[in-house]
Order: sequence, then C-alpha cells, then structure tokens
Amino acid sequence: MNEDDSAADSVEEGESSGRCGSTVSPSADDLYAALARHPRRRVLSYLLQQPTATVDELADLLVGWEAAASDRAMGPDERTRVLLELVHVHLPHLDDADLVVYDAEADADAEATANEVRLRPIDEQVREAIGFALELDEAVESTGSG
Amino acid sequence: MSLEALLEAADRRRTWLAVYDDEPSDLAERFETRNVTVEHRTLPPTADEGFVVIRDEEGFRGAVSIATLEEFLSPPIRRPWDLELLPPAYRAIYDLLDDTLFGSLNRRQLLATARELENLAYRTGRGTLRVGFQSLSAFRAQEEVYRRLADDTDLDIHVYVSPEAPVEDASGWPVTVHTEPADAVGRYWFLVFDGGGDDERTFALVAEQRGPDSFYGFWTYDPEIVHRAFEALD
Repeated sequence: MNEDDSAADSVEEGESSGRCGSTVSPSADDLYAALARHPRRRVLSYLLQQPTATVDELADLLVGWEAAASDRAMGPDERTRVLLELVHVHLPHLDDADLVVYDAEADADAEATANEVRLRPIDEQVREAIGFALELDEAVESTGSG
Repeated sequence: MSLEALLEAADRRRTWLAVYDDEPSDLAERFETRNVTVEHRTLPPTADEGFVVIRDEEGFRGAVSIATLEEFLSPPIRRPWDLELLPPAYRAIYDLLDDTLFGSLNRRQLLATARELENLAYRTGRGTLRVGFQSLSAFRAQEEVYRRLADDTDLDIHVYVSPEAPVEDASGWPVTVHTEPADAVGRYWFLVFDGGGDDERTFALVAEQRGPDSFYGFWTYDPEIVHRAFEALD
C-alpha cells in the first residue's frame, strides 16, 4: 500500500503519496495489481476520457463492452453480475490503489448506484503506464484473442 | 379492444437506447419512433467496437454490439425452421425490443420479425395462429412457408385477407381463410399466437401500413396483450 496518506480525500489541495505536488503515484505493485483485470482497465480507459462517472454508468459500460467483445447479447442477469463485481471487487481495488475516489460505504445500499466514481489526478508516468496497458489490450482484442 | 387501440396503448411505453460509439451514429434516425430515445455516449478508444445499452421503464433490458443492432435494421431472411443458423446475439434482439413501438419498420424488418414468431409457433407445434397479410398476393408470397407450418405441425392456422382480393377455391389449403373483421384485414399485418395454451409461448405482432414500405407497429410476448389481440379479431 501507499505511505499513509491521511489527507487522501483532498488531493486537489496538493496532498498526495507521490513525488509530484498534486498528483497521485501508486507503488508499482499496486498499479500492476490494479491493471491486472480487464474490467479495471476498461473503467480506467473510460475515466481517462471523462474523470467522473456513476456506478450505474460504469456497470452499463462494462456490460456493453463485454457484449461487443464476446459478440453476445447481455441481459439483466449479466448486468447484475457485472455490477456486484464492480462494487465489491474492482472499485474498492482501484480506490485502494489511489487511482479513483470511491466511497464504498455509501454504496452499500443497493439503491445508491448513482454514487460517483472520480479519477484522481494521475502522475504523468502512471498515466503512460496505464495507456501502455490499454494499448496492449487493444492490440490483443483486435487479433481476436482478448 | 381493436387493433388500433392496441397500437395506441403501445404508444405509451418508452424505451431508451444509449449508443456507445466513437462517431456520432445515425441510429437515432433509423429507429424513427418518438417512443425510443437514442443517446450517444463516447466509446473509450481501446474498445474494439461500439455497443448499445437498451433500457425501458422497468430498467436495464440488455446490451448488444452496434453491429448486431444493425443486423436487425437490415435483417437476414430465412425460413422459420432455419433460424437456428443465425447468430444468437442477433436473435436476442427480438427479446430486447418487444413491446417497443416502431414508427417505421420496412417490409423486410417486419418479415424478419414474423419469421422469429413463426419459428416459435413452429417449435410449439400446436395452438391457434391467426395471420393477417393484408392482401392475398402477400399471403401467396408466404404460402410455401404456411403450407409447411400446417403440414409439419398441429397448428390451427387462420389466414385473414382483404375481401376485395379474389379468393380462389380454398378447400385445398391447409389453413382457414377469413375476410372479416373488415377493419383489421387489409390495413394491418398481424400474427397472433395463443402459445398452444402456454403463456410463455404467446406472441402478437401488429403493424399498420402507413406508407409504401413503412409499417407502424410492435411485437409482444405479453399474454395479456396477446389475449386482447385475439379479441380484436373475433
């Protein structure tokens, strides 16, 4: 885990665990663990375009992405599975790695999928590492083995 | 309740499509119905292809690739008993867009929808199927299909045609021909099936011709609406 970052919720104020003033820089282990699953890479890919999204939006994104990638129709059961994994596994993981801000407790109520997930201001080197992982995804998907 | 009233009731249901694509798409125009709201969302650049998320008033219905949705808009036509050759994702569209009122389906889209429903009737093998083809010549174009449906199954098939069309000797046909009710035949293309007594297998397709190649209508698997469609034909 990162060094204790007691002001983790106020990165805009310049607090961070990284080297630069106002950006975050997770440890390499944390970063690679965060990138190890394609749903987390896909969430990051989306948040790099627009830094905030609701949990509902991210669930829609992931279930739709899977429909296209696997050439199948996805229904409500698949979306429920995607949503549960997002809320219980992927978003907490991304939050622990200091890549996003996600308040897991507020979302314990199943109705609270309107809760927001926000990308933290990311160190340029970390952004590049994420970009490289996503490019690899793109190359792998287009050869049909993704 | 008349077929007209069924279409009016369908008019009140709403559907939302969120299209995730890297370019603005023309899907909004091609869906052409005021009951379907089409929104565009940005697709992340690492996604290989775009997709669509479908919601109705009850919430999330499903998600498919844009390519699959476009197949629905320009559908393949197969015999009803050959539909298992088609991609499952494409066939799932008929379970995702039921109860959605379309402002303008063309004849090909309507025929592909009819095939999906005829396939269900064929596999069920029994029950009452009522079909309105507007004109006798339109029925003639499908006669081979309906002969086989009648020969291969115990379906009780009733065909409705406009009374102005010359009705030849129908005794050799394996179907019952009707020319009433006058306000239904001629104006509507419909398929209504009672599921052979199984509420999980009922369907109704009701479409009103509004232009040379344009039909206003919907299909449903809801047994209550199917029941009302049967009543409209009595």
